[in-house]
Amino acid sequence: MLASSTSASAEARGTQRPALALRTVAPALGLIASRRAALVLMALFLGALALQALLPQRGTVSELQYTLWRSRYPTVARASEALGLDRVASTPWFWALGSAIALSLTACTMRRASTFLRRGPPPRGREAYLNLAPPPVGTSPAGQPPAGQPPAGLMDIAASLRRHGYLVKLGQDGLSARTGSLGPWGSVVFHGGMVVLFLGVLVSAATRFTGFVELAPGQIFQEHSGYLVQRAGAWAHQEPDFSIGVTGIGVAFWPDRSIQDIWAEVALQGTEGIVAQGVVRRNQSLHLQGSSLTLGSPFGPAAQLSFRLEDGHKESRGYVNFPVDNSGSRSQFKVPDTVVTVHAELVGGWREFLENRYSADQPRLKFVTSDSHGAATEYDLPLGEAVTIADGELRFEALETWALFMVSRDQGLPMIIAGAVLAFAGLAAALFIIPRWITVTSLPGGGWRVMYRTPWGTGSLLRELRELTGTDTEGT
Amino acid sequence: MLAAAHAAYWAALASCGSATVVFAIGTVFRKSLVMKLGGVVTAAAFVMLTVALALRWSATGHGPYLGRHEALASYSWALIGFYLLLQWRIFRARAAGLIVAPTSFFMLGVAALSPAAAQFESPAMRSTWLWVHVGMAKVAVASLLLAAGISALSLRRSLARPRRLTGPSGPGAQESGLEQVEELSVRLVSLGFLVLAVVIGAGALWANTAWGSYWSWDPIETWSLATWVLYGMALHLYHQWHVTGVRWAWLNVSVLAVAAMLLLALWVLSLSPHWIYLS
Repeated sequence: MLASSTSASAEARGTQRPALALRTVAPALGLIASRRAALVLMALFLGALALQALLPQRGTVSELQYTLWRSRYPTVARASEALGLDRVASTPWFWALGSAIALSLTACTMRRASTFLRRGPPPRGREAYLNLAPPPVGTSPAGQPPAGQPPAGLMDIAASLRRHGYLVKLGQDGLSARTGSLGPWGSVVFHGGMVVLFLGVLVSAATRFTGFVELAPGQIFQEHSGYLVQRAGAWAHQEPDFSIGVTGIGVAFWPDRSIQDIWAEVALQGTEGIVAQGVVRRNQSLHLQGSSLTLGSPFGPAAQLSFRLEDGHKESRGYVNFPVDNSGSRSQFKVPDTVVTVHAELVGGWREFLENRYSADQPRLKFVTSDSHGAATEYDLPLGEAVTIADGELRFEALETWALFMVSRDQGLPMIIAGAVLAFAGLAAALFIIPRWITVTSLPGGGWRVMYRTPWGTGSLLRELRELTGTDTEGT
Repeated sequence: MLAAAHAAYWAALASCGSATVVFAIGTVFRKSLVMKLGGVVTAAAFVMLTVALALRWSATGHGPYLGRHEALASYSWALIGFYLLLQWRIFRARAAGLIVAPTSFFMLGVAALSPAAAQFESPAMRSTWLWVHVGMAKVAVASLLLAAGISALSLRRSLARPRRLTGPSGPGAQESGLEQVEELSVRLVSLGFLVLAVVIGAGALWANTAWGSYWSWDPIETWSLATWVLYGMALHLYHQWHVTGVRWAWLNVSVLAVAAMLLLALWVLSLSPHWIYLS
């Protein structure tokens, strides 16, 4: 008896448990799927965006610009930093807000899609009606229609509605018609597309990386130990999984010396030989194994140097890259296998030389070496000549142009693009296909009563009805 | 050629000023003939501005999107062109000239005060996505401005003759002018909202090739997303909460005002790479 009562109460609990869980979860789900919650979340997101746009964000503006702004508005800056408003996009609350929006979108989409799949889009908008006067005498066929057939006037209205793309169901003394069913579905597709886009953003945030490497003609990517990779705001070295060989870099200038164009001839080599080759220029990337190779903005002169030990057996080659806008700025490099550090700058007509190899004013490399004891020696090395340093000979072999190459990989991108395309298609349908429901019934004294329902765009519907029925609705 | 472009530009500016005066007179004295004249003067301004932009394009070798002068002049061109197209198809839209003409006059005036020297196009600018981004931005701004202008006019009318604006719901339901105007403004906002989505998407694709990142939370990028969300909220309020009639007109005007004020605040406060192209 006791056992049976225990099992009975367990059964009762078993039946109660899901109901309780449902009672707990359902309101939360209902709340997150509600239109009110969606609107509140959008308003919060809008506020976050406004703050983000108005306050300088670290990582978006340069450190120098941020410091200048900070010194100009110290109180605002302190408050902004204390609240994490100097990095809104990377704060946990911003991501939580984004996740809540994604959840709300998913819940709304699922709820609406399930309703539509079960019953189809329900009629929306207020129901209204107008009465159409009977057609003037003589314009309609005389006599009653044959038994079982709708009246001729109704047939005319039905034909007219069909011509305008309405789906018409004819009855004995009336008809019902609807059009624009795709419109409500468009809204579902739009919200679904936004969910896919949000998922893509999450995948992208977790997997995307962008690597940068400076290369000059003759250099191969794998000569470097790796390239700098930016991932989630941190910098690290990444071992390359393919090599980039650069055979040429070209730059064209406008008359005011601003850059007209920049391009590079490259060959990408994977494990199975050369897999892609061609010209990379601004806005024209090369793609390989899910990665894309793009040319960045910076470029400049690259001095190719070789260093040979006195015994002649060991030779090293390397490049020193100089910024294009300031040839006088100093660059630092180490002569291989020695303890000598060299500070260098380009002088002479290096800019002219890059455009014309036969320029009269040949470039020179001015540099200072300091040995392990700190003793400095100054050199002025013309192109093609060599000097003796430490235990070897340093030669200024060539002057080339270096360019910044960017390798990026984003596994979330296909999802983002698919989501954006879906969302756009859905939005276009939702905004411009207006669903309409019409019922036409005959009035006892002749003429027709047209019941219509549309969520919006009543004005154009009335115009359409006027055209369809050939009757002036005004005054009826 | 730049001198000829400048002359045509000043002629367009003068025509816009004249159109503003003509539309104001037509509205105050309710003279449809004067309103028609306003339309003609606006069309003349459009022709002049087209000539000015075409000549400048030919002289500089790039489209009108580099620098504040070119940007504002081309936005103004899009606004006037959109208005002319609309009032050609929809008679009631003609009254929006009262908003379009002074807005264009103001934009052209600010453009006239901005440096007009031709700028060279950097390699990053040579992209199909930039064309889509810039071209669609003009359509979006023109349609949203026009929608707000139409709503403002309907507000003026409804304030002059207080009347509850609701959909027809009873016997003999009629299509009133104000309802037609409301539908027109909703359609324009919908178009602007849709096109703004294209602007943001194309801008992201271009930014990836120019700056190496699809989205970098640059203030102008963030502002465009905020504006999109703002209009999204407005459309939700219209379609889901039935904020119609006078309330819709107020909402539409307010949304544009908020977006414009935010942009103005950005102009003063923010440090955006976009200003390189718009200063």
